[in-house]
Amino acid sequence: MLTDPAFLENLGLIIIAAALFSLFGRRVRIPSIVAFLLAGLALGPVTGIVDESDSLKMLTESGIVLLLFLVGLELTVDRIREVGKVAIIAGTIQILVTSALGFAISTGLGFELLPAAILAAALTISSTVVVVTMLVEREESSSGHGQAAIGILLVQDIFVILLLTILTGLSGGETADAGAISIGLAKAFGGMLALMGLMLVSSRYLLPRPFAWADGSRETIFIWSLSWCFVVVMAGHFFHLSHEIGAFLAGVSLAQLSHSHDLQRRVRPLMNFFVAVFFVTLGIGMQIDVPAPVWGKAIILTLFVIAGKFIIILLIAAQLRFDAKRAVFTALLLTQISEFSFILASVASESGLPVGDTGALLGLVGMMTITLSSLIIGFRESILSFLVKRGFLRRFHLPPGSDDKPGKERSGHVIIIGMNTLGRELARRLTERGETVVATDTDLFKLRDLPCETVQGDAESPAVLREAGLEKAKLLVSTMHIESTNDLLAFRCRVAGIPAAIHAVNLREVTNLLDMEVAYMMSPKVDGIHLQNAELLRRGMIRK
Amino acid sequence: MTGLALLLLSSAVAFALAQRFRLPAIPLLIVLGFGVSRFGIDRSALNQVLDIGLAFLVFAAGIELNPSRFTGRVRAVLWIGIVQFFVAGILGFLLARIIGFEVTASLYIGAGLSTSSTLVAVRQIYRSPGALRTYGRLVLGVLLVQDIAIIILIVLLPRIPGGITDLITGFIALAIMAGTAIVCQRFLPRIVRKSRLPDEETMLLCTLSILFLFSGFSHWMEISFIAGGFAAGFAISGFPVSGEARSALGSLNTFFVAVFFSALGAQVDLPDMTVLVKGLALSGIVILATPVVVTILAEWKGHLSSRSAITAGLLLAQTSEFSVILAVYGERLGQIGHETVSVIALVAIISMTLTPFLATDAVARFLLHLHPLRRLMKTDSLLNDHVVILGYGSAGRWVIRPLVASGLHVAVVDQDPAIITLLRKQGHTCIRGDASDEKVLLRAGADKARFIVVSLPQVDEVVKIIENVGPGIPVFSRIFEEAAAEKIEASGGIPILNSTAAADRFMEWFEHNLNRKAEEPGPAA
Repeated sequence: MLTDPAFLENLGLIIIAAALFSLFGRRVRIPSIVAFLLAGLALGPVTGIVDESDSLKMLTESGIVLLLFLVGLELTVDRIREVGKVAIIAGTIQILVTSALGFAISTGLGFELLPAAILAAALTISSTVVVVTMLVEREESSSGHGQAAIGILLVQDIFVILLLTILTGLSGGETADAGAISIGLAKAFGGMLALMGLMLVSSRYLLPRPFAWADGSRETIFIWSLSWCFVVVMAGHFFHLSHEIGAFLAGVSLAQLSHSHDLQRRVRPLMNFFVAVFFVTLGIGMQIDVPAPVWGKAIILTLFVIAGKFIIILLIAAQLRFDAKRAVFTALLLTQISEFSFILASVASESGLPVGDTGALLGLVGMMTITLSSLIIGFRESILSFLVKRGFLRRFHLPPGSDDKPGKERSGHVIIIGMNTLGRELARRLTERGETVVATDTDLFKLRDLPCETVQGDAESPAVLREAGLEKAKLLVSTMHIESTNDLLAFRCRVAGIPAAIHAVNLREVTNLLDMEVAYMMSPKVDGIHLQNAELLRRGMIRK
Repeated sequence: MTGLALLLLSSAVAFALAQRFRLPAIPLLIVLGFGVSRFGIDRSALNQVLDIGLAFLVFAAGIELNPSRFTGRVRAVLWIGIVQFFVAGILGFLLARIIGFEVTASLYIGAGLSTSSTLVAVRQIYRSPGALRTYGRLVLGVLLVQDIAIIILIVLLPRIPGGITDLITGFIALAIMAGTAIVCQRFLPRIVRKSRLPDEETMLLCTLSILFLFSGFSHWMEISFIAGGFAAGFAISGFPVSGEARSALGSLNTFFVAVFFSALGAQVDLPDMTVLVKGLALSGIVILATPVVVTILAEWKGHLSSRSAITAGLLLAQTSEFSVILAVYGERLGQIGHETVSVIALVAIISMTLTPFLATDAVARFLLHLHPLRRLMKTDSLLNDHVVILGYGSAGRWVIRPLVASGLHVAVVDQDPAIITLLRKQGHTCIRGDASDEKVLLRAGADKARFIVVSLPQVDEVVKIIENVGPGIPVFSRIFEEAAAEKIEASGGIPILNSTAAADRFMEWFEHNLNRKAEEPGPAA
């Protein structure tokens, strides 16, 4: 091994455990977050194979950064206008109400004033990582409830930053230095405004030109975007802003570009890798051998987080005139506490505040609420219909659920991969005879001026094929010259039971395609010879 | 985090420069990584990036290793790969000794000089259309042989101080690892074909699990985890596993290439004058010796035409990313000093940067004039009023059949000796050579032909042929892209668009089989 032998070893164990648990989790239908947390528990507290260590910190932090970057990438300016106001109102009320109730319950459980205040704050905030992971997994981050939840989470993030600023200010000593705190707060607010302004300006003036220049190379665009993301995170760091906010703003500034869609897909595998590591390490860091009274308190607080937050958000949603579905889904999404809750507790104890066993307690509450909320999300449809049936929602005066519009679900269409001359020709001719055609290419430039719908992206990615609607297509055509891609597409079509017409690049390819039972093989070389012979015949150069 | 941000920033600049000046990204990444390291990067963070990056890069290289891609050329590939490896290695070792390196350091330098870069060469091959039909597959094969050879060296070199028993145990461990990988490569496709695949996230984790399982296995057998990563890649290189894995990994590869090589650059020290001179001297070997060895062997064993053989040689004239990996690894083991690493990295930077300038048609044509064995061309005076076929390829028989049936005499020009032998047996006139060579054209009697049929993929070559032939003789050229057809038409040729022909055929098939618009989409015959 090169450096720290434990590093690769730990990473390897984490990845293998995550893979095993999520494979198994799929069988029994538990969400991947829970599977990862369980994997972490198994590696850490249960068996003690992997210790909690700092060596993986860079990976987990990068995971969170990429996650928020991805969320930002989906937000165009119009969409921000749509949800911005709602988010600020709902977020602020939620924070005030939940922390007040949380404080009451904590003092009721016998906590001193200060620990109770810390607990209240910690219980108020929900986990951005958990919620966004669930949304991204279901491809719902741009849905109504998804946007509302993300908006509320961002307001909470700002709240956390303020709290952390105050807590670190307190660490000065017994006497809280009011001056330092207010300077810190001013810096945080000023920084946020400055960064937002910077992002707005750069998304309009700075970024479009270089990105248009690099249009041909997706690698360049990908690396540029990542480095932009991390540079903005660092800039935010300078103003004491959290990584989340910086990454999110970087994403927003790139979302206004035409590449954002393809970028989202390219960032995702990277994000998945880091986020899996994040959740497993979260599980590894849990303390489960705590005394029974702590367990009791943890269970009470868990119930408060799940039921209390759910009802509070429903009430707010009713005031904002959400429909039933959006309100219930938003509320269900936010029923957990955040990884920042633990950080809050640990910063408080580092500042020398007498917080007692809140750290371990919050760890338990976090584990339980995150697990339960991600399980609950799986049953949200049934929960919604149950609540509607029992008339529970009537008390909130929610407008009846207007079902989401069916969207532009295509079916019976033809997907064409590869917009070379053949691909463009086929797209044109098929559209002319009234077929619905979806043209796909990695190069945005090649998708211009086509008479049909287009999807930019790498056809090898299942997400691209999903977006093109492979499951309901009538036919998939690949005009690509790359054997391995054609083989893979033929394979995917056979699995999906969709007929495929594939370009047979050479003889080896013919055998592969026969193997994959494709419906039709295109062989331009042979067809070209026929055309050539016809031309020679027409010119009288050969006899029939 | 700051470290990662800096590395990404420097790779962003490197990618921009690479695109602007059409250079390979790796040397630029190293140079800029070196530049950014002056701003102070946390070394332990660098080491982590290097560790994961290393495991991941060899893994990705392993996945691309599908041996069935060069079936039929195994003998030539082995010949060129092994001879080139040893010739460059021994020359490198000797020169390193002469310019004052110790034995171990010289061994590392020799090993570093003996391999060529897959990342650089593959990019170059995919840039030139038609390369895969001629020398491309041979080059890919040679790269595979070299990669395997260097993996063996990565395992064995650190064991040299341990004596012969240590080497033998290393070899056995390697064999076990390779055996496991081969078994997986055979059997995993069957499992994947039968089972329903999980979502992308789980697929990604499963793919990476294989990497870490193999790495753990190699660690347990006390051989380098680099070998384990490579074997893991090979284990999933069978179709369709490789495709699924590649799409699951997606952009991870780009990310790790970028941060790994920047991190590597950040670790290198500023080369002083002696390092610079030594690096230049060693680069000379790579750039001069490799093309000569490969050209000779590619013509002799690979039966390539002189020009293709020269291009293949030029394509392989650089050291590999593996050379640098080997050097970093050797330094971590304490076997070689920092100066040796700097020299090896320098050679990689120089030779990789030069490749796009050297492996061009122009250089190959120029070198062709220096070729001592260039066959003397005689004009075949008997040819008159015939049809010249430039490029026979896999579909050639359909081209000449109607011509012969119409009583025309054909003269075929092709580079492949097997095709030439076959056609001669059938009684056709054949010229083995490069169709874009004016002398070859003359020998085929292109100036006295009734018409000419070209099937060559490179438009520029076709245009040049049309210009060489001059007006008066019709030149038919089958071509795929519309833009190429326009060029051919502009220079006076008659383009036949393969793609239009294929579109016609496809539409015919579509009308017959899927013309049930309102009905259910049914499978076609």
